[in-house]
Amino acid sequence: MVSPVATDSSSSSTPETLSWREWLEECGPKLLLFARQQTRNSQDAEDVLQESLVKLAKKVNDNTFTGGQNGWLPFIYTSIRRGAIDLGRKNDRRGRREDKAYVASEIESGGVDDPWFGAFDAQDELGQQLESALKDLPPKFAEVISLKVWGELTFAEIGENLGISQNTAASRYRYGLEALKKKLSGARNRGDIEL
Amino acid sequence: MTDDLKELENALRHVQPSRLSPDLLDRLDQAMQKWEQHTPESEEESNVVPFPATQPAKKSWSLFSSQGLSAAAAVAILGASAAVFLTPSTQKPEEAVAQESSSAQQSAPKLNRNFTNVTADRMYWNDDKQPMRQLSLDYVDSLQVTDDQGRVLLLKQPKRRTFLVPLQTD
Repeated sequence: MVSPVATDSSSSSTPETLSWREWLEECGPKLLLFARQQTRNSQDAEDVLQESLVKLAKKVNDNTFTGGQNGWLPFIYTSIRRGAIDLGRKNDRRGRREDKAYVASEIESGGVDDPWFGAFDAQDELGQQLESALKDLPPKFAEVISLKVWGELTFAEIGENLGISQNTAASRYRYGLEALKKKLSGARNRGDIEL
Repeated sequence: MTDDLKELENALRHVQPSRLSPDLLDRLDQAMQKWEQHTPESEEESNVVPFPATQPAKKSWSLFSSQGLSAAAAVAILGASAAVFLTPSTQKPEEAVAQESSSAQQSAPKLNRNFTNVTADRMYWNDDKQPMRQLSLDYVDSLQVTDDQGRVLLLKQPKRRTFLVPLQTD
């Protein structure tokens, strides 16, 4: 198995060798966050993420991937989104039995088995509030925020990923932040979080 | 972007997404190491060129839609106004002049409207998850009339009209 070689075809920089694990440890959290936003539950998110990573691994090892390491993240984000759409269609055809079982387990566990954000001592409440606020946002705004803030993509890359214009991506980001600010202001005023 | 949104953006960047659990990390690492054994079901889709994004179909305009009714109401108001102001007078010209001169001491009332302020206020979300911006328009209607004793009366009425304007997100 050939480890991925990080090269920048646009420059003459020295190629770096990264193991998949090292790259996963660095980029996995933000990829999983995006996958969770795109899917109905954590299991689906992990499955979609795995499928996307396998596609990337295949292309890199076949030398059919173009764009170098800088293109890995945008490729994965696009793949996650498409995989989530496909999975959603399959789940609709399969029926709601599995969804009901998952909802029951979520209710029993309080829904905190798979928090979206790391639990830091002083920010545990903030992470929970932020997760709740993002879930309340319309998906087309939440996904832009996720890609911009934690995915660190540009508006042009976000637009290409989501099939929208750069300006539309910027607009959704701004309006999404305004809505997020409003949702978090209540907890902030109560002193539950510091923001 | 406003300063408070930049502040929020910076604060969000400090909140880190949850790290992958060791089990998940092992699972994903193994899947990528043995990618030949984990060929996704949608492998054929990698050779499919997706259709370009299409614009959403525009809603057909209907007379009975809110826009249609508004347009019909506007036309009706214009027509009624035209009927009022353009109705040919049945008076003879000389009679109209005589009547005009007899009421010369009473000048026609003067109506004026001054816009004082326009503000873009908070943002709302309607039931269709569409963001709307509240716009407030402040203005003062003033009416100046002269009574038969020659006293000039000025009436002022401040008003505010509020609109909800849909924000473009598509």
